[in-house]
Amino acid sequence: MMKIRRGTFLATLALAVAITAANIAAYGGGPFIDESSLEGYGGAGFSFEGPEGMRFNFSRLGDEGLSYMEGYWFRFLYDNETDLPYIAVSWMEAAPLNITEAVTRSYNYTDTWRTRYSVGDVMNKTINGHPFLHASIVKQVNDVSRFGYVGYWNCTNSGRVMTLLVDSPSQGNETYVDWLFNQTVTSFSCHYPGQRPYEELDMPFDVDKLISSSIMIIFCVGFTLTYMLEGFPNFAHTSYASIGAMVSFFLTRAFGFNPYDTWPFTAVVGGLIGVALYLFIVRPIRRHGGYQEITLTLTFFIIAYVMPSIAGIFNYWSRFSLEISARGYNLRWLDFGFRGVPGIAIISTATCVLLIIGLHLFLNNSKLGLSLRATAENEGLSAVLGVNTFRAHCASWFISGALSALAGSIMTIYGGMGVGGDGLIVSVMSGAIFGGVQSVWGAVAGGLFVALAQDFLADLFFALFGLPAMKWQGLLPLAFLVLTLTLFPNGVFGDEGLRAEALRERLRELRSRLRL
Amino acid sequence: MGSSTQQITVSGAKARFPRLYFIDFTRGVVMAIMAWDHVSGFWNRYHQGSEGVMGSARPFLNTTWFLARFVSHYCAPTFIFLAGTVLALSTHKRLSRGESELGISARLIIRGLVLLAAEALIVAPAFSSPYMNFSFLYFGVIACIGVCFIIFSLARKLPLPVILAASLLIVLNHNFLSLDMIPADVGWGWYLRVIIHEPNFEWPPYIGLYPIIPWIGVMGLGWTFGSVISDYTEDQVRALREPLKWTGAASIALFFLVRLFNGYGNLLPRDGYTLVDWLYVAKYPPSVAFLLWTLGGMCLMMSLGLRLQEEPWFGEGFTGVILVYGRNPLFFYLTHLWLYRVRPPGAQPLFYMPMTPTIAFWALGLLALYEICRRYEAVKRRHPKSFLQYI
Repeated sequence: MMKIRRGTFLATLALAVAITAANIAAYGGGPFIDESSLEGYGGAGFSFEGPEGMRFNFSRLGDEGLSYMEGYWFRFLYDNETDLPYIAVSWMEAAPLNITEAVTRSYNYTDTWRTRYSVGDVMNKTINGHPFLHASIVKQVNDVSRFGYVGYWNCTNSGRVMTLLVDSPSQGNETYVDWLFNQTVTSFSCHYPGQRPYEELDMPFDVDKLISSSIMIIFCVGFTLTYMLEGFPNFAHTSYASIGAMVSFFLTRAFGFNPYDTWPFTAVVGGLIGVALYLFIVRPIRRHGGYQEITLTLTFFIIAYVMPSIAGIFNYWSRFSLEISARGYNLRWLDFGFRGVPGIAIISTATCVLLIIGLHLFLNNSKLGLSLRATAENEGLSAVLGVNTFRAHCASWFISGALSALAGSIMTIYGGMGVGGDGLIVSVMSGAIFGGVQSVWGAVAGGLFVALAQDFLADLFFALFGLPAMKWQGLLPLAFLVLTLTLFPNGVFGDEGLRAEALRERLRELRSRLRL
Repeated sequence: MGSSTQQITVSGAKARFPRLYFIDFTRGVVMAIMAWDHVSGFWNRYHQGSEGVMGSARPFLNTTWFLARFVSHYCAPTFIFLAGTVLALSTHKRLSRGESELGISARLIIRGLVLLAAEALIVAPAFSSPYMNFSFLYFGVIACIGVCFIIFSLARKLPLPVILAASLLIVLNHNFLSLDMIPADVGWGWYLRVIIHEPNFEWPPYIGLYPIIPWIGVMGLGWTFGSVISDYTEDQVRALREPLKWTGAASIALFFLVRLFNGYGNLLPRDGYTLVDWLYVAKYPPSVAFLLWTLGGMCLMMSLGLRLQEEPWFGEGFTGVILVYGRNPLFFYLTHLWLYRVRPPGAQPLFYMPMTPTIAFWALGLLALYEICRRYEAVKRRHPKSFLQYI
């Protein structure tokens, strides 16, 4: 190997420094990358969820602005997709000089040469704590006129200036565009992509899982309550959740209710339906000597099929009488957001917790609750002791119906609900059986476990196998039910519980069956 | 990690490299830091990088997240510099053992090709995401080192002063390089630019972050260093402690000067006087400021390694673990990516973690990696002529 002398080393160093100095003298010493040619870098790259299920997810270097929209929920409002509103968001380091520049930026510059537009008076409001300048615009492209709003604000959190433009064909849509613009503005998060304020940093859970867990718990508790008293699985339990969703949808769309305000009405309607089912189905069957678990199970199996038909009739009536199309019930676009968290995540969780606590207090402290428990334990003995078992039955059906309907209402805001209960009954049964079908707390634990486990497995399969795995997602609840019935036929919180010996016995049985 | 095991491992290593133990130490430290950068990138929503890609300086959420990323800047320069150093040392050793020049060059080429294959097949998929499918053409740090090895299979024949001069010129002047002569509107031209000097992700699959220029200059400096110390006596090696310390301190002082003047050496200018403003330097490609800070830090780390090397407990406990990482850098690199990633190529994480559990995950992973690397090292020692010699 060659070595290097000290003198040679110093001479080499001096030579390199001299050449570098010459280069600096010739070309200047500043940052050599020409940033002017990269002006658009960082001008795009945005992920934003807007109202009515719109999603912006756009990241493209070199663009001076961006515009993209998925408007799948708009199809409920428009027959022709070309009439969809247009929403453009841009974010850059430099502030637009005025509203006009914000317009050209939003239309991506290239759009403006064949376009004429006029801008209204500039208004001011506050968004995310930043002054937000905005104005109305009318855009004319050939013979087509569009009306909209444009605005911009300087987001000091991210050191970027955001522009927002919303427009729509001007065929009597002004009010709607005004509303859409305001909705977009209020739900806007102006931070850098992927960045959120401190408060949101350490959220250790996925909000979707939070909501789905709440829904599942509410369902499981209602299902368990019915089972405790009647001793048969109510297959229609999730089906009449669609009635609750229907009530929420109707009150919101026809009477302008806030979807959350509809929940008390939903609960009452659901509860009354539950009582009606008891009075007109369960009780007569029992009274006329036909009381057998299998009879009631099959009856409610049929009711589970009838319920969607009622929803179908409502949808038909809604479409032609109210001119509100309702293939399913989706009110998500009316939800609010709090620091980037959907309102339904907060409200549904709080509701679930309050319901569980309330139910616990009711069952343990109130006379009616105690009578309900006594009836569940031993109806004959309770009746002999003077407990009004009829009232107890009615109460249990009312509560389970109200809970189911309420879960349906939550689902309308969460992600929409189909007319048939969305096949949730299998998952609910899994959760309830897992919880032992003997206590409210068991149902809570079972519901929570099944919801989380299903979500986790769905995510896992998706991560492992990609999109095709999602086609088989429907098998998960069924797989859970099979496993639960096989390993914990009396639930984890049931008689046998988690005892190792019982579990071992089940596994032994399973092995012997598989050998056969 | 019992001490007896440590003793065996360390004594084995000491027997092989009796004097240049500090190199493994330095490399081991940066490997562990690099693992943090990657585990954070895989699991933290607010971790980001790409400082300086096309002149961009994406803002960080806050100073903590910035520093969590900044601390990892030491890794690539140290990794590449010491790759050059070890390359020189091993070449010197092989020549002294009487191996042929052709054989040594062929070995370097094979090693380079293995690295290129490893980048395409193991590293690139590990860095893929739903937003960026993995590309076999991704030019990352392993591919960069691989190409540099292939270049060095010939360049090593140049006189050492020429290698030093070329390396210095590349490192100090690469920001004046213009690639306008290469067309940017065709795939091959774009990719060539990416490989040579213009890292970016704009045109998949022609993507990359570690261009040959100026990283080959960093490797050349490492080669020079390795060549110089290859026949040092134990006393001479020990005496390196002070020069390394002062070189490191001077380099960091120069860094602050370069940042203060905010002109030459800053691919990203300093916008203000906050800590982040001072430290936010371009890594892709590495600016002079970046290299001054990181290579200066590396010199200090090597000086510390020389200091610790004198201690009787060196090679036990924590330092023993670090040495195991340092002796198996490529294996560590390839393994840690998938150990921490825990998901298939292209998939996003099922959830994001806050910083604290990520640190715990990182620490647990390091423990696992110690055991894996230790076992790998034992296998490699049992089969010195196998394919493992290239990893």
